Amino acid sequence: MVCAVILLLNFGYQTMEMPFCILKGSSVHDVGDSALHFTFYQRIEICKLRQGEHLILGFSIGGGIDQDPGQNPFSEDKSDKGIYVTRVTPGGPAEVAGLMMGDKVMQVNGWDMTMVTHDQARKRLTKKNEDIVRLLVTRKSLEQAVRHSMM
Amino acid sequence: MAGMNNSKNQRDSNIQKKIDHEIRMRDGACKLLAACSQREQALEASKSLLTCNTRIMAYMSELQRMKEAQVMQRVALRSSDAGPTDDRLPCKGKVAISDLRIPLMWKDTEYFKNKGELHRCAVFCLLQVGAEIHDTDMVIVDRTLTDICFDNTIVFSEASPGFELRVELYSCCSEEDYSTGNTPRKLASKLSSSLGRSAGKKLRVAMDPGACSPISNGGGATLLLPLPTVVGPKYHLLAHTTLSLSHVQDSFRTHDLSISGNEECSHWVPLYGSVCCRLAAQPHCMTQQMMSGCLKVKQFGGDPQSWTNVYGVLKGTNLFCYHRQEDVEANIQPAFTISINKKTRIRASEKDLHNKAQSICISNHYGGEEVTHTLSADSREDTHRWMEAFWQQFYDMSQWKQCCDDLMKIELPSPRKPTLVTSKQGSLYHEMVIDTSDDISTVTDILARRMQELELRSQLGTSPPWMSLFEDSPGCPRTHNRLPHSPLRCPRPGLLSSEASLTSDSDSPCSTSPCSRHSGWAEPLSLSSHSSHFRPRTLSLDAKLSTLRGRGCGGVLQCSCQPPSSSSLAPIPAQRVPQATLSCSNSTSSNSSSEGSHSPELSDGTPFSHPSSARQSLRNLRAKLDPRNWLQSQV
Repeated sequence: MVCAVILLLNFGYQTMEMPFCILKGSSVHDVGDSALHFTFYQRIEICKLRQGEHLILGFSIGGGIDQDPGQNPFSEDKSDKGIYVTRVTPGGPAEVAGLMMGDKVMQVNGWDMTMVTHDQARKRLTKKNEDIVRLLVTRKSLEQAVRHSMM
Repeated sequence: MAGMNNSKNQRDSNIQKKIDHEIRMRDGACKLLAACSQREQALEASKSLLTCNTRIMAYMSELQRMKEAQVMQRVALRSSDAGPTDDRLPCKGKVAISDLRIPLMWKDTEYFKNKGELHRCAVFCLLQVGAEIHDTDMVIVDRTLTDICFDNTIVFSEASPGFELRVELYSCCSEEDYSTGNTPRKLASKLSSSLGRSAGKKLRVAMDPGACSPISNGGGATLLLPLPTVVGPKYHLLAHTTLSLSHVQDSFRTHDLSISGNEECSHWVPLYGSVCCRLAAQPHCMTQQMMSGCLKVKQFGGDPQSWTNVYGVLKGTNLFCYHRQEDVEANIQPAFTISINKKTRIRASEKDLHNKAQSICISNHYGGEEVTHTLSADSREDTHRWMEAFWQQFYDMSQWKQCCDDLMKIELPSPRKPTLVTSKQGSLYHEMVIDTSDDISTVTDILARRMQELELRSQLGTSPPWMSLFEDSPGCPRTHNRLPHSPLRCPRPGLLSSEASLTSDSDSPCSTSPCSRHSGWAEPLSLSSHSSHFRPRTLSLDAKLSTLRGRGCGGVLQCSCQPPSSSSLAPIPAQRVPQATLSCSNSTSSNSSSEGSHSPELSDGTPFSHPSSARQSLRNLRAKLDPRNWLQSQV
């Protein structure tokens, strides 16, 4: 089974796209992608659900640059001050879209979430005029899956 | 099989090293771009950046192609197909492009009048064959020029006859002001945020469901290189063309250019529409010895006793026959030479009565007459090898076509001097751009950087001088961890005194800005306790931009700089938001009784949107305020 992955390189003001094929199930020599400075991301699109007066997404976040990163149970690196998904409401919009507990949120609708306070992060997710949020998340299992397929 | 794997590993690690190198160069170029204030420097740095980016893309494509090829090979081997066909491959060769000249076509009135402001553009060319990319020097173009001339000679050493040389002309208007110091606050924040949005938009566009197959859910995975945003002069593609073997000639030729852009663009330069250059090629079969060995030669039909022992060397369009092998190195003239060109006919003849092995007959036409030489090797295997060499030579000549008629001359480019970043040693203060609202540490950073630059200037080698500045030593941790401290930096020196009561709660192994040290800026160059050697703090401008952006995001950061307004926790009015997490929980003092109860109004800008829940217990809220808890919010 071939799964096609789009390689999107953001070079500051130059963004280039390049299809990057990864073949699952066959052993391909691994060049040691640490040298290439990749991180594997997944795009998740969540449609907010209206509950009374509120638009909810159905998950909880933890983390932020104003928080103590040592208490984050999901991060690998205990100095990581990023925003992590701590809980996903069963049956909620986030679960339907494929968000999983432990995901690290890198971007929301293009806004960076790696260097934000907890409150800033919450605000970016709960903008009233947005019905859909497009998250860019990374999770350890995804990274492992792709790396494994490259082994 | 193991040998094949080893060579593959070798190739992979070669590309990996190249990518590493380019990423480091790229980092250096970004930092230089952010730090420099002079237009020329900025244009050069931006050119380096574009070249690095293009090279990284090319290497990644190469890597991908190699991986695909590997997998295809494995698949082919696994299936019961016949083994790989023994295809004959043509030899590689050197391809050189030089004397590039691009004529311009200014409007008559513009050129002759020559009044008014001169519209100047910086241009350069990128030349690419496969994954090998070279750039020419940068040239400033204005109305007084009739042609853009690039003096560089660029040689691609291992090109196949089917090569495609892509020539791209990039241009950039050289009149805007690029220094980040002058960038107004709003613009800086707008740039940072708008770049974020455009990247996000590109993400959305790229992830069309049709473009990729989904894996487990939703869209496919995206690979993203998180790299800092760059402010500075930007080059745009102005024209391009692709040259190949058919364009190769031992003289100047004119080729058509495809032009992108129009008069409205800032980077527009009126091109005539063609490019002149000299494109030459030297296939290896013309420059290298393809086969050599001992032979016996005689003219066809001659006396059986008239065999001559020679040492034959097949090179280019000739088989040189030397008396002895030593003559080759000694540069002594060969005894005679037999032509091997596209008109030559070679065949293996029947066994000579006097010889055991087959002989080879080579026929040529010399001035109307057909002359045939007969060659005989020592053994059957040697004969076979010679035949194989001749076949390969013919094949190479058929592939390289006009390049094998005569050897084309390629002048090797003289070693280029590395371009100095600053040619004059100006006063430090003239080169610094300081905004009044700037952090004082920005100034010290510039000073520190400049000092290092001057120190390391003597280390000019093959890499640009600024490379050594930004080279990470292996033991040094990446500096991303330092960025979080920037938003907490005090923007105004005057508020230092009020921060005496504020302590940073976060566990910070990295050094902090002078603001959070009560001693002020006594040690501007102090660095992280991790690194034992001096390391320039080059991220201050990145941090600055994120600071500016943070300010633009609702003034949350201003909270941290206000002294705690009350010494005891004021009773929370009923309207307080129960779920809203309070920002700046770091700014609690060690006395637990005093806590800055920052009103969410400041951060929201509007009264609370969520309905009040006066039933929220005070204990719960205190728990939320306690920085020892790790806050979680439901969205």
